[in-house]
Amino acid sequence: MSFVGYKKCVEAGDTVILFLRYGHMHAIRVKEGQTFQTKYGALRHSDLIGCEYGSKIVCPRGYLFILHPTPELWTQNLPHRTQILYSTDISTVTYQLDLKPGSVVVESGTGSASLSHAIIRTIAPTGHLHTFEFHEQRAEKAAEEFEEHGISQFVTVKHRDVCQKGFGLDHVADAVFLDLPVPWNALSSAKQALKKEGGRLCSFSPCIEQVQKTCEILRIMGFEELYTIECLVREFDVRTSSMPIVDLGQSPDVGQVGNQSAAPMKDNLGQADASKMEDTTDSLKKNEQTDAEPQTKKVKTEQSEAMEMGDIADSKGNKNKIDADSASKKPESADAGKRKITFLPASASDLLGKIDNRNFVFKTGVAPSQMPGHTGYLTFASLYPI
Amino acid sequence: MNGNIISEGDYVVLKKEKNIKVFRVHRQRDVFMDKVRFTLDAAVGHPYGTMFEVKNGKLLKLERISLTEEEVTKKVAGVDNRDLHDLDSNQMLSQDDIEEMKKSGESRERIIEQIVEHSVTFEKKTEYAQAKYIKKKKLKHLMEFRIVKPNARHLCEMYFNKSPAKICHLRGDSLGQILTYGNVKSGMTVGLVDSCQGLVIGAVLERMQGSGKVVSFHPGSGSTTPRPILDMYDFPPDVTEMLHNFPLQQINSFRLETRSSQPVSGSVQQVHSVSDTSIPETGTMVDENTIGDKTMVPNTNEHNATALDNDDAEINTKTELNDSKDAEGAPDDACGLRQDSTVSDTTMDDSGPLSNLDNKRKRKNRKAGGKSEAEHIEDTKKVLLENKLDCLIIASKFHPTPIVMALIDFLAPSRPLVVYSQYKEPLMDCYTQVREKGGFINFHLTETWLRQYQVLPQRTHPVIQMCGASGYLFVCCSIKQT
Repeated sequence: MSFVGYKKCVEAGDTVILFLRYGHMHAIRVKEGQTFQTKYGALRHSDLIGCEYGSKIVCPRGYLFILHPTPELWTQNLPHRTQILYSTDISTVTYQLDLKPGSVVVESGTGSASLSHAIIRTIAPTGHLHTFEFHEQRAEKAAEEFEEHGISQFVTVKHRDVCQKGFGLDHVADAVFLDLPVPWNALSSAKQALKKEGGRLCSFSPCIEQVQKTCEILRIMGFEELYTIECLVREFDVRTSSMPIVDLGQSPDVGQVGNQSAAPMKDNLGQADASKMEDTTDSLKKNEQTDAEPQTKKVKTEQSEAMEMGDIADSKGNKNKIDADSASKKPESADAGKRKITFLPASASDLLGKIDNRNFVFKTGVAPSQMPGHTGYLTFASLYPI
Repeated sequence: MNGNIISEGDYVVLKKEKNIKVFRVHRQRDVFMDKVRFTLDAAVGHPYGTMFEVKNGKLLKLERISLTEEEVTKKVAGVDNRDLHDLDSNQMLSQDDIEEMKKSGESRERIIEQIVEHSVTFEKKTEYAQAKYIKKKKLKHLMEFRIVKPNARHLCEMYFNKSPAKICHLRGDSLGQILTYGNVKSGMTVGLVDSCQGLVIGAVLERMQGSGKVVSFHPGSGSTTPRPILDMYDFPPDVTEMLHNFPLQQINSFRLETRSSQPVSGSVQQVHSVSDTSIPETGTMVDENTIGDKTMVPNTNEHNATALDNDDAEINTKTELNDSKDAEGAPDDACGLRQDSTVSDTTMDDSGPLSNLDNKRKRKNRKAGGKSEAEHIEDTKKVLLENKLDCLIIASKFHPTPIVMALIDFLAPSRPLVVYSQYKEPLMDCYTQVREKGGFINFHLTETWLRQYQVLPQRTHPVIQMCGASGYLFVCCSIKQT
């Protein structure tokens, strides 16, 4: 029961995920007496048995973590026999097909059983998956995996070409998923498999021509609410980055040096935390007290900073945030006024970044330069009772 | 009772293309859709998924799916639009003429035919433009819709289209990802914070179908904030009984208790008690509010149901009122489907005495024994003490970092933490803080790009408008603390 139910400790026969570092994982089946070679040296399976999932395991040249298998981790680590569906598409399929415990689902082809694991997780313990694969070895291998993963009771694997022979199921399914080269050939059989009270269908195709033909046939067969989408995930790398600040020469405003005065930053970005965000005025106060610099100079710094931040915030469409901040700091500026300091709308430096040695240093989420640009088109449709 | 048959008291979803509405079926109660008034009486007894039409204020089952393009499309069609001019006089029928036809009981085919015949330009349009024209006219002049059962997909779509602010702009595909990355399934223990009026709680409960436990941490010190969407899921009692509530304002004192490893004492220090009398079942009056009579919803405390038809402002004020009230720690009797509330059957409601059915439903939602709020919080504490969480989901309007920091210790090792936010920056903060605290690996901060396609013969292309705001997800995995 490892894929459909959590357990605490590793036992022999379990499939476990070895997490070495980000993007570097392995899925292994724990067998007494075996060893597995990792980047960090040999790992004896027997060392894992009895360990709690999530534990740190020390290897000869490093350490790794053993994770409880989930369909998502399996998708990232399974042996590829075909092209597979990844978790973004999988979550959309599961959601759009209204899957839940008890659902009966028909799937073809099984492929590498990436989606199958996710479907089984969602429909267990009361539902059932009928999965069809026209490649005999793949069907066998999938059945073997379901057995090993303790989920075979929720799934029936059949070796069959559904485009030619159909599913052979009559009004049992709540949902049908098709990932076939010629999906339209399986549609009448898919309709036959759906329950009389209706159901949902999804067809996954990488090419638009397949989608067009499928949609045409779906409409003829009385499917409704056709909805074709493409769904891609954008991952952000959260890191600290910086940009240099250009020297604009002498500032005309106060007759003072402009950004040359980039004084030591008074806020510590590294410490940015919840309390700070709730109470920025407080931290400002503290900074003032500790600041023994000539006050005019300080004001200048604050100003240039505020402008800097303001500009950046605007470009990010975060103007409201800035406005809100400045509003919350009004009492502060009144207080400061007594000491002849005029605070401009204070910077959102806690959130966005800080000026440091002529650099604007900030936290950002960097989008990848390379990312999957296409997986396939997902076409969903509803069948209603007549 | 067959669950596939529309019955009185059910929450139902009316689906007319992109227009989705939820009503509760009551005899002789008016509902509105596209400004048309009708009752749902005639829907009772039909299976879910049935197509209906409204004709002269009457709901009728539609025997045949509406006319197809070919039936109306003339064989004559133009080649391009060089001779077409955009003039009001293109349609010779006035709006009044059309209304007159509808009143006189003309068949829907006839009405569309008439509109087509009286269009000066129709024959000059290309066949594709003709098809588009007919589709538009059908949508405008015919009241045809399906009645389906509420579920996460329909409810999320409805709110995302109509009032996304109420669900923190949580798009359907992001909700789907929350459930997938949270590995939500039957039999597990889920901890969650939902500021989406119960949408996420409902979606999680739907994926568990009565097996497992859900602990919902809600803001404030007392009872839960209103969760009208949760009511709309119309869950049977065995599903709602999985839900346990815990006020976030007590989380730190509870953590202190557990840290000193004392067994939880039976008495919690000072819990705001709720008057044990008359807590009306609220959140179920969707259809009543939709009548549009605002005098019917004067009492914000007792009526926090969403009126999907009424303007958003009204609803928002109501919710805010309840929120602020709750935050002050006042006894809050304004909560939606609350299985921990003592419900009095004699409750009077603004809209008059409740029907027997309403009372039945109330009993359904009530736990046997009628426990006090303090007792329920104790129960939830037991759940938290006995079970480590199998996943922690946060989809909140509050800054996630403090919530995450307060709750991650309840998460078992090798389990997912899933945090949704409409904005990226709070999640970057959360990401950084969690990373700094340690105990988590496999960090991901993502957004989703979702593009819809129009697929028609010779007319396949991406849909002109797309939604660019999926919101952001932060997902990571807990490890065993050493």
